[in-house]
Amino acid sequence: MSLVVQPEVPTVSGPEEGPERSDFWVYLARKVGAAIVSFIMLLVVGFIIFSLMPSDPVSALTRGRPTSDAQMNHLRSELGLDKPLWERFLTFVGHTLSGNLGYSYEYHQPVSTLIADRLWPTLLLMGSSTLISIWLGMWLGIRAGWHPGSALDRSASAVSLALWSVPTFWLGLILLVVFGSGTVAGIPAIFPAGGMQTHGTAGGLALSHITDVAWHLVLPCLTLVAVIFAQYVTIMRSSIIDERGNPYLLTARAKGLRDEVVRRRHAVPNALLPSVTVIFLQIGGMIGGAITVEVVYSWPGLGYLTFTALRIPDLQLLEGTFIVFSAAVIVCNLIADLLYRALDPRVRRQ
Amino acid sequence: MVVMQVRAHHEVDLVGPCARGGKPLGTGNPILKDSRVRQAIALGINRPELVQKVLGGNGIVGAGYLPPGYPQFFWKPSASEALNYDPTRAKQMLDQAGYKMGSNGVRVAPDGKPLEFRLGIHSDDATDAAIAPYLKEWMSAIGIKLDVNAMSFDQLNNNLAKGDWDILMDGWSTGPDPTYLLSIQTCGTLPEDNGSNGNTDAFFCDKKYDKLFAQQQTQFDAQQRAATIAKMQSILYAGNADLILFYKNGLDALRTDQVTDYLQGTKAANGFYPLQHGFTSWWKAAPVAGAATASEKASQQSSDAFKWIGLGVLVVLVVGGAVFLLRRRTAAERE
Amino acid sequence: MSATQERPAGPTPVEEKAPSRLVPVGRFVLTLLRMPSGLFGVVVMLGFVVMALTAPLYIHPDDLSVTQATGPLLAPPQHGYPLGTDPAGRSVLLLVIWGSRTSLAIGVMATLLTMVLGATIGLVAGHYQGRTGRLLMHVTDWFIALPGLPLAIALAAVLGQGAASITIAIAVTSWTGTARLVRAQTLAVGARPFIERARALGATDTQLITRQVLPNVMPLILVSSTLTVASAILAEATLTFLGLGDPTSVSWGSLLNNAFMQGAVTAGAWWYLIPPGIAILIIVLGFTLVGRAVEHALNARVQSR
Repeated sequence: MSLVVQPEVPTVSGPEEGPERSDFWVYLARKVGAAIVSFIMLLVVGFIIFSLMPSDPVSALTRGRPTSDAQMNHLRSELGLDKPLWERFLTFVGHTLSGNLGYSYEYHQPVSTLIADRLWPTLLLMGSSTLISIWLGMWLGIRAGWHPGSALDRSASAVSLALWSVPTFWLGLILLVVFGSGTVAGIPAIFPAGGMQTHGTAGGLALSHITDVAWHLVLPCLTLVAVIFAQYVTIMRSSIIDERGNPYLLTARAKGLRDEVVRRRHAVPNALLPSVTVIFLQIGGMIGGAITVEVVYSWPGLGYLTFTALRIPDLQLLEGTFIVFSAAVIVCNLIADLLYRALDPRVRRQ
Repeated sequence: MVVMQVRAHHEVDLVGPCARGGKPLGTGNPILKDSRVRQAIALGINRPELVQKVLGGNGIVGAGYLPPGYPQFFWKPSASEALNYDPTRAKQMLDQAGYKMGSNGVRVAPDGKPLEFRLGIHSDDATDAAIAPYLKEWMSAIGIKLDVNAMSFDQLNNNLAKGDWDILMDGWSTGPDPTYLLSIQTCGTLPEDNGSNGNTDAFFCDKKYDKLFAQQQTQFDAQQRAATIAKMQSILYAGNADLILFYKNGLDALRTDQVTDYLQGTKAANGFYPLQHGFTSWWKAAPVAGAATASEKASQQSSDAFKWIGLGVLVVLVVGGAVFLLRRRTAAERE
Repeated sequence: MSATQERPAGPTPVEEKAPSRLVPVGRFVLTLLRMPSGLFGVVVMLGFVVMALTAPLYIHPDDLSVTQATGPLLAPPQHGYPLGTDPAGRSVLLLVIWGSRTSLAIGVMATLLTMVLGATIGLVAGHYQGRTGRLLMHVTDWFIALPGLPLAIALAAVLGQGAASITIAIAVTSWTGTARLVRAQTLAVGARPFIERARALGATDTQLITRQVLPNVMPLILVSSTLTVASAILAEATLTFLGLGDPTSVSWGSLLNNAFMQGAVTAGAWWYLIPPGIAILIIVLGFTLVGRAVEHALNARVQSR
């Protein structure tokens, strides 16, 4: 991921009194409250950024058509553009909470419709990439961390570092040109050059459709996985290294358990704890990667929508996608906080 | 299957803007009012190279105002009128007009102002971005400095309407009747004094042109009308308010197994509309039997399918997570 | 990215003087260079900087000119054009070398801005631990929650295209990491006795921050900045690729943007696509390795006290 994202590892909270169940509700209330505050701040920042833009939506609407000044002023009051700033903000908040994210003048559709249409492809891409990255990252990270300094460990670290240093979109371009264009070194175009489905194939749950989408999904997924899994390797590896130093593993070995069993049933579950929460916290970074991958492969998701909105620029649409992405990150951070508490008994009882 | 059409021309708008009543508008550089400067700029642009390098050969070198896709109206300048690429002649012209070369390679007007112009391009247009460095280099070769400003479509149009520009990139396409395109260059499209309600693109205003415009609207004889329009294009060419760089070929792709009766134009058509593009191509088109409903159903089924798949994945995750957590509670007993 | 851990100073027989502001440079540099990764990183870093600075000496404006280009259009590597040509006929090798100037310049400027912003907020948050500190930390934590690329896109769309808006966008999305690190370090340093003594002697907060805390936090800021340059260069490439940069300047991101927009992918012009990315990869690797090595060397220095 190219933009710096610092994972916020939740710190172990202070001592809590009272029975465990009411603790949980207090904790939940606190975290949900914080999330709501974050969301409100997000709306404020979004509103400020996009009201800074010097363009006038009314002139965009009436471009090329003879409009008198009186008509333009009437349009302005209809759209509520002549109201004071705080009133416009409240209207904006009200609209956003009720799902009205504005109207796109370029596509001539409400922004929420556009976003709803592109949501599932993005979820498909990000979901499959996350699952594969987690599995691959953990598999490699656990084995690398269990034998630090070994050949596997060193090569895993080197590969992770190299893949982190590479721009996501560039990796996508290379994969696309090598496997999708059929013009390099005689390699045939095994995978399609972009898009999500071949036009004209049967829709729905037909097997041909699923395999068609899967075939289109391979290269974008591969690109995202390559760039993300390195982070999971690093996290898992350092977790396992931390766990190795714990005395309870000595007990497990003394019991006569094999190395593999010690690793799998004792070290890994405990090392998983911080990793699981970090996975959710990394979603914010993944969104950036997903945007660039969707652009390179013309994958019809939210990222591609943001890109097309950017080029015009269609500000209502940009504002809508910005809010949706940020809200998703806030929700994922909330889930991470709750998961951390649910999974780690040390946090619960203090 | 590919249909090649000629439909858009790229042009460079120049000249000092003013309102309908003659009130000068905006911050346009007054040096550009000098027709010799504009002519030198026209002479300094190598249009064939643009077609070859920027369009990859996928276009026609610009000449008259109307595109060659409608041969009955297409006009080319005669050998004596033509302003082909000739930087030597451009430099001579500027020297003779009194714009001496300055010490830093930029010419200076007699009143001391340098020949430095803003070039506005569309930020979302890859062709504009590709053309800009060529223009910049050709202009600096004849002693003119161009500052390239990339602007959004909105911003560019706003600046255009207010007259806050020197040189802008613009493009138009036209249907079979050129009246609308020709009307843009009439005095009637100039804005009001406050800059609103204009539809001009270069603030061009010429009485003779306006008279010919009114005349061509009344002529029913095709050849007479073509002759009038030819004279109009000659005026525009000499005015150098719009420099037509090229006519970009528009490319359409079509699946013949899905669509029938798509109209393509033919060059030597006997009818009035030799070039088909835009909605005229689709006039008689129809889906191949059964194709339309299938693809409609397909897309509806796709979005339904995604929702089911998503729901299924969610259910798996929730059930799996619950099972996992329950097993953890009893893990100590199983150890 | 781990913070440099400072161990609290133990009791010393001699009165503890304020920590020397001059890092024993020689020993530090030697430690750095003894690590192979550090050596590689420094070589790469210096190599690219030298290449970028000396480029005007051997790259003639004609080589970068679209109108004077004499090479074949979008041709694969051949004699005279070791990395092939772009659609205008210019040598890709020379373009990549020239592009390093803009990419490095924006990377460094963005890092400077990030450092100033992040360090200021971190220092203030760590030093004033009351309501101001807590408020600043809440703001920082909340900023971390905003996804980086959508925020950068929103900012750059509003500010318009160009190098300035990209620099600002990168700084606004990257300052939080530095702020948290600096705050943690400020807290650690603030607990040390010499701070208390300086305060008792009547030093104002500003004096404390600038004369006592800042020099101790500097090494950490150095480490953080090398790593930030790496991610700033990646961010610049991404934002320029998405079309937010100045279309007339040559940078690695703009080369890739041109390649993508002008159909180099479907034309199979791998020679136009691979070199800018490799350049980014090498320089980001270099800066990252240097950052890690500096961190290591600083740890070694701390532990040897």
